[in-house]
Amino acid sequence: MSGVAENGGRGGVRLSLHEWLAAVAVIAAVLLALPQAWRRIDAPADAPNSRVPYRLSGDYWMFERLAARAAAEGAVAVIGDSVIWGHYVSAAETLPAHLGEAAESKAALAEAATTGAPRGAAAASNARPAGAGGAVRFANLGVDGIHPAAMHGLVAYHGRAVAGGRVVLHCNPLWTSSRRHDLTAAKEFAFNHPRLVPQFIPWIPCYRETADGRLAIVVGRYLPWGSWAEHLRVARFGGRDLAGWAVEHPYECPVRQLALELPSADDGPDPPPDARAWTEKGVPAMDADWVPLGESLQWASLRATVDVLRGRGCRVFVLVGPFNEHMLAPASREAYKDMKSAMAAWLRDAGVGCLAPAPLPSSLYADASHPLAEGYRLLAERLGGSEEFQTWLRNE
Amino acid sequence: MLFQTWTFALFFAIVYPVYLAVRRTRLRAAWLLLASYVFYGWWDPLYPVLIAWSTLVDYAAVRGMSRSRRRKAWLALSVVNNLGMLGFFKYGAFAAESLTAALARVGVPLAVPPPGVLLPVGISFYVFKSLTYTIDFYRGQVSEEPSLVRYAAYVSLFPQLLAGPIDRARNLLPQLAQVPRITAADAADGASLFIVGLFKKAALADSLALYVEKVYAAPGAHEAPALALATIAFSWQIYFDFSGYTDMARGIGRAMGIRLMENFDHPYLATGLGDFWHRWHKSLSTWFLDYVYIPLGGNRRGPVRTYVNMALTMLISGLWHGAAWTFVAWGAMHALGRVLTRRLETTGFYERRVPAILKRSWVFAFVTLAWVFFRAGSIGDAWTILARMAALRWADPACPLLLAGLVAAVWLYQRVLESRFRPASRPHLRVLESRLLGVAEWAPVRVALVAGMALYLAVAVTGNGQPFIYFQF
Repeated sequence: MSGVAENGGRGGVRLSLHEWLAAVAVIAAVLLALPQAWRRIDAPADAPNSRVPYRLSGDYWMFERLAARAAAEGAVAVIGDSVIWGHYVSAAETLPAHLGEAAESKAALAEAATTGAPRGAAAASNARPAGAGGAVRFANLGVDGIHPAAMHGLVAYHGRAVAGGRVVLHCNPLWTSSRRHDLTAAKEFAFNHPRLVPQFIPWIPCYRETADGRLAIVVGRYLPWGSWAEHLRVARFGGRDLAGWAVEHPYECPVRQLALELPSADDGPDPPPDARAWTEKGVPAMDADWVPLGESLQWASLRATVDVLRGRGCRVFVLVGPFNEHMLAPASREAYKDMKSAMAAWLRDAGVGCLAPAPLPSSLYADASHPLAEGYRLLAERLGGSEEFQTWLRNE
Repeated sequence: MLFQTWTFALFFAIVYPVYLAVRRTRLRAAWLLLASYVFYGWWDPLYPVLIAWSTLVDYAAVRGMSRSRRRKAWLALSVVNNLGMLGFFKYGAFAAESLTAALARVGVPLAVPPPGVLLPVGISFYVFKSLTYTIDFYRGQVSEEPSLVRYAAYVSLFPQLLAGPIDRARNLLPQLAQVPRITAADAADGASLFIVGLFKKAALADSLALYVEKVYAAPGAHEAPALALATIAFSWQIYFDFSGYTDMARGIGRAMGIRLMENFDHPYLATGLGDFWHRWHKSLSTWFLDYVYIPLGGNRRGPVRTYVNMALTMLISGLWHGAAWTFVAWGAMHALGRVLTRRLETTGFYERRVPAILKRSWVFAFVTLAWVFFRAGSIGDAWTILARMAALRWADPACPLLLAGLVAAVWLYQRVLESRFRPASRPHLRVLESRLLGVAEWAPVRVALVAGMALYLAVAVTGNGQPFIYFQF
């Protein structure tokens, strides 16, 4: 068999059928094995309170890795947007971190009461696995900018490891505060995580993408190496493909990029956000144009996310808010309260554990929805003190 | 619909099995036609109307020629209709702009309104393809096609609809009339051609385009090294882009049992400008040879007319590529090059004494310099680029070494394959070539190359589906 095509085709490689079979076997083996092997190279930091580094917010492979670790450790997966991720705070000051700390203390007290062992010995480590007698662990699976429509995609296509366990979903009412936030606006605009939203059904009028692009995104979700290849681009090549990166770095060796250290869980926005209370920053009052729940894509997506998780045997608890009601104009605040009650009622009717806590003190908010460090501590205290949450947490 | 998209993969996944199932029945041509119209209509639902019009007129023209004595009139109808369509859609705006500018120069402030229509993709290709049927029938070189459906399938055949190759009716219509014989080797060859074409397009052409675009978008902001390297990069970009499309088209055709004509033969290994045009876009070069140069008299009317005919053909070829003065300048440059070197290239001195590496280098340099006009946004930009290149001021070109390395590897590979057909004259070089050829054709190396290309495409390329350069023509 000649390697040069007959019929004048002098320029190309030609394979016979058997050689094609060999090539396909090599390609399949590499594409299946390499992402597995890469897990050892780019493992997420093995530290307490791990979270997806801010710069890797679009790296869903990293989310997959953290979700898989949480599932392996039997931790409660806490999934949500930057409110869960902790936009204004360090990894140790987020809601999952505080919940974990509280659970550790509680477990240590219980252990001390039964065995007489010193309290600090049990509370010192956050690395012990959950189980009988052990503290419940909470894994921060928040991703910056994940609105419910994207969260549904994140859980459905990249959170397959989250199955059969306990999941706290955060419902941030901010995403229903306007048609634009809700993605039901008619005018096209660029929004967060477009690769995760439904590409064809339901149709998102403000989403601008060609049919080819949408189909490529859908196919990419099912390619076993798709999220890993995207991880390489996001984590190693500044979000560009190899050629794009090479044009920006003409004399650098791409192989060296593969050896770079990944950003840590405390990698945050650059420049860091202004972590003062909203009142100190002079943020004006907000007159939200709440989208009715019956018309809201984001609310429908959150419910769909609950269904996906429950379909996988997960027990789901939804935390609604707490939104910064102090920031709302009076009429808007009343509408918000009605909406919050309706959300909680629907969830309870559907048999989903839920808590819609009262707002935190005004000074503990950085903006409309993000608490500051003390706010997270207080919220964790309220959540931990909630009978509904404790019941949900205890029931197997 | 672009070959390198999942949309096309889905389209082909539907079309191909049905085609295999109906290929022995009368539905074969109808299915090909339907698939081709869907493929074309994907760009714009109105495009199939245009191609259907061109098809109907040419089909009727041939029927008219075969049944009446006014053969010339029927041929004229076909030529005027096809060139009229091309003129209106492709050159209407250019003609209006040029006329407005010319009138302004003589003091007549009259704005000639442009037609206000967009150029339908692929029109330059299918119009030329359809013309080969009517002209060849008039010349007695092809017989009448009785089936309108089969003729329409020939004109619109989806693998070659948008950018060729411009296959002759006498080559393709008989293939469409027969039950295609599709073997496992055809499928394997088709897949081989397709993956090579895909790699050329998505991994090489689209990557080089990033650097070319960066430099050519602001030629005044770059010095000689960057402008020269970007122009060389464009030489390779357009080659990989267009030959990649052709490879994919031929691969799809091969898998369907249809042999499309070859379009490229390592053009940057050409040892003369004449040789270059025998290797670059061969289906168009031979089209202009058969339907423009020879009807003008070719080389039968003395040396002066030969040169005039040659220059005219090159100018028309330039204008075919695009409705802009930059393309006319590009064609003129090649016309001048051909006129000046035609005699030289046939001399014994040039053929035997000048080392092949020198000949290849000068041809590549000339062709690359001419691409400046082809790629530049305007004649003004082209002059700026040439002037800044000539100024020889140094500045870091920031040319990505990775891409340069990829191109060098491809060139070396092509050079090795070329040695099978044009071996070196020196014995020790022939031995080296033979060894390298043996390695390049060794089965594990070929398997590794294909696997490497597929893996590179799967992992390192975003695959955002950039259109092919030649679609605009």
